[in-house]
Amino acid sequence: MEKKEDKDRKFETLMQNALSDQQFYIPDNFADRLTQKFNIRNMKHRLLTEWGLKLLIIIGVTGGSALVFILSGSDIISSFIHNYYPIILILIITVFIFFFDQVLLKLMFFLKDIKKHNSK
Amino acid sequence: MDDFELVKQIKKGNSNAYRFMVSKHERLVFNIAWRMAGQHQADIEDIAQEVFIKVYKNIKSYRNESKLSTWIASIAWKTSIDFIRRKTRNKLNFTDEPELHETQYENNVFENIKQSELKKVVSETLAKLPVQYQSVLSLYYLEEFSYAEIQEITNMPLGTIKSYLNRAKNIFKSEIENKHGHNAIQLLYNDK
Repeated sequence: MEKKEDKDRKFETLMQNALSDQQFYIPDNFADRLTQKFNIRNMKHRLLTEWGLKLLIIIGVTGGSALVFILSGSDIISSFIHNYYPIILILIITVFIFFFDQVLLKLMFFLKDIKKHNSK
Repeated sequence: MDDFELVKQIKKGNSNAYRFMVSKHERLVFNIAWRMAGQHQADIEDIAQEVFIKVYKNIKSYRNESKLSTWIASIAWKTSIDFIRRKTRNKLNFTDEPELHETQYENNVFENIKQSELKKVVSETLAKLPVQYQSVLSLYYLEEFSYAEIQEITNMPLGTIKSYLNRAKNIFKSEIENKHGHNAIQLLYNDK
């Protein structure tokens, strides 16, 4: 007479066999594809953080300099206020160029490297 | 490398650790997606991909309280349910009960039954069960998760999980009995 545990084990084995009949396949490069996405995401995050930090430093230095000018009673600030339109335009262009150079360009080179690596 | 160290490395941005984690758990995720969301390879791959992206995005919220595989399986479960909801436009019904029609088969003597025949009966019966039954059975028998872990993965009450497993077991008993006679079941169980 077989014990209950032995019979349960037989049923368990039977179930495992039936359940392991899986009608799907895992592509060979599945983990690689995901790792690539992981790397791209990491790179984006790193570049944006670095850019943000650099921008903060620049804003800090500019703000500090402006404060010094204001406190010293210089009339540079008032001339800036009168000509705010071209100054804001120049600032926007500078920030964009800085973003393009520090983030977009580096990311494009990184993606190009990945593409090159994939085609090998 | 244990789960704690693996997660620590992934949080640091170590791509080799991430690749290792994907390779280690891809079969589990594919299996859940396949059981839950159907038979199309492309759908299964999409779900699996979404799961591992979610794992990375939410890795900071992983607490070492449960096994990494349990946590990943719970993400796979939720993602598969969301996928079904999207596909069926919210017509998801997890209260489905198995509808198995009893068929009379000739009562073969037990000695003639081969293991492959039993496996065939089990596979056929399994295919007729609702997805939530199949998934719970798969998590329990194939992935060898405990009741508590299955509860964590599926968010189902413990009683429901136990009832699914017991009912499924009884369904298999009666199916095998129908096809191969009373003696067949006696080999597998002595409580019948």
